[in-house]
Amino acid sequence: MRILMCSDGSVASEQAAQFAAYLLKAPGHRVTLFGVVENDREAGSIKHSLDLLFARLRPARSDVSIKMARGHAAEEILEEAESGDYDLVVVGDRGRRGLTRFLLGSTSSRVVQYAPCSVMVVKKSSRELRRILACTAGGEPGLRDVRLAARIAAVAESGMTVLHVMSQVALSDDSDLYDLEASAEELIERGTREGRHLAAALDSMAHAGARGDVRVRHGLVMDEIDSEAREGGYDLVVVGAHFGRGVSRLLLDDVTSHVLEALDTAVLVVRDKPSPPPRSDGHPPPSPEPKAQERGEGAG
Amino acid sequence: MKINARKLAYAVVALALFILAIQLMKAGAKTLAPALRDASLVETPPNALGFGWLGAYLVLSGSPVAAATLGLFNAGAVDATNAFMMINGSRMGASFIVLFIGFLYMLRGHEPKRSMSMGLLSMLTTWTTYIPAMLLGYVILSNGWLDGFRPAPASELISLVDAVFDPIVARITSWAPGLLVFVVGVGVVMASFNLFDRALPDLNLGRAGFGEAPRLLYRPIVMFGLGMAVTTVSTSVSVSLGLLVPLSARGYIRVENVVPYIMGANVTTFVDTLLASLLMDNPAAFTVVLVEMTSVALVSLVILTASYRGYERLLLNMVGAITRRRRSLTIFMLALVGAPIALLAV
Repeated sequence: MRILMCSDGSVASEQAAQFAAYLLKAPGHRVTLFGVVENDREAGSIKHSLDLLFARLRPARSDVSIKMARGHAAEEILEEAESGDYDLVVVGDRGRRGLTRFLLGSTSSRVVQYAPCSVMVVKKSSRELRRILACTAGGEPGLRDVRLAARIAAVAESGMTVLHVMSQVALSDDSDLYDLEASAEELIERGTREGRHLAAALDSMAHAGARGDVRVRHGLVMDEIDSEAREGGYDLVVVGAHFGRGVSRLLLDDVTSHVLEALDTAVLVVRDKPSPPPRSDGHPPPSPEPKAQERGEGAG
Repeated sequence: MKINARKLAYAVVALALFILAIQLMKAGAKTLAPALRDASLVETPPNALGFGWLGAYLVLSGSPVAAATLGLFNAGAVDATNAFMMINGSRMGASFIVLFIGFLYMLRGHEPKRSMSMGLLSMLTTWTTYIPAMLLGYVILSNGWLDGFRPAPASELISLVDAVFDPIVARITSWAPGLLVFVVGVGVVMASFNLFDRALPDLNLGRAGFGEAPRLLYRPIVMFGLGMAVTTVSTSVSVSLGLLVPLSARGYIRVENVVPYIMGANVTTFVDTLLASLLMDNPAAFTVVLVEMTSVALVSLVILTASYRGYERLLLNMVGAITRRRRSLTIFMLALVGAPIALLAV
């Protein structure tokens, strides 16, 4: 797996790297520690922070390197993610909420929204990776989310729960009302659409060597994800990228942003197709060519 | 696009019946108005609300009551405020039949939550938007804020309608008393709505047609717009909801999608009433309906933009509380019958 671990020298980004180190328990990863200098005064501290992370991650039997860039943090991370063909971007979240988030924006939100690959946002409270909650909506995209979560659970030796929320209401007399209140086990036993999906999720977990269970909750999607995440004491919540593109972006509700905003746990947003980001400064999307003259590259 | 001749014929006949019904109710209400004023059935806005509400129970639908209300308003039997409240009442009682059937299922041993959730959700969505909208609409109407938005009189259309339908109406009114003419008008408008429902296209798209659509969550404002658009054509909330059924392979759809859809449908369900006001050539009647639509739309938009998640939770909690025990559901059903009767006494 190619991982881009981002740092701005802050405590949040150090925590993010520390948390992501759970992913490196298995050998063979290629990790790039990436620092973005937005202000010259920060350059020294960011370089120092990257060196410390490098020293910490090196024993993890992965190929670790350091890269630095100069510019707007979110844009530089997105450009590196685009050009570097990464599988995963790891960013810290400073915990801005409400008006502050609205006014100052959030690097992690922008990266999650426009990155071409999966993104893990690590929150302040993230410490250990003992339990993973994979939220699955159904269909192949839902199974893709489960597969990535299962790979991580297997590597980190964490427990894992796959959650599917049903918020359907019956609109006709011939609706199969029983399914609307059934448990995961009942749905699997009855071989319903949701049951088949959950059975496939269990297979994916077993195939990846992860241990865990599947669960169904009934209610509003966001409320039930929120309740399960809090009640279950999970350390990482995995969701699919529901941002959509083009018209679907306008039509579909943004469940992923709700999850990112509402939960205090680390969130992994799974994506498998590129979505070119518009720049916040109004310029066209970045080209895949790296800006070599601005980038100091090296393995520390 | 293939046009179904039978459905087209249904639509044409439905429109003709609708116009005839409006003309009959206009004529019947004119002779009824003095008697109604003397009977003092509708003296206060709460009376009017209860009257429209009970009327919807009696004819099992809101639209005929709203159209009849305009007939009474046109004849001067009720004033603008009371007409506005009667139209509100007609919507409050419109989905009663769905609940009533669910209640009968429950009495036959079905679990209340399963048999009644959708009817309750629909009714509670309507009530929770219409009650604040009623207050807002009352203020708008009292201050005449929308009086300026009146269409230019469609003289040629009205002349054409008069030329075609006046002889029929004159013939009926020559031998039938005013009350009977009005009642026949209500019957004809119900028949026209029934025919119009049959004129709507059948949607049998099933699983293949919509793919993953049922599992997706749409933005509330998108579903609100869709509900408005579909109901502009269907004119009935229940018919619009029926059109959603094929979206799910197994006949159900998510709460998150259906609530804003109902909110949108509740705005444009007055399109037929708006058309009735135009056919009556009464600008004040048009204003009453416009105020109704505007106030419901404004309240819905405020809910959708400011507190939609909390609103969804509130509705589900209310449905849960009502269906938790058979006793609470029975009390709720009794209150549904008692409330409009109590309003008539206020």
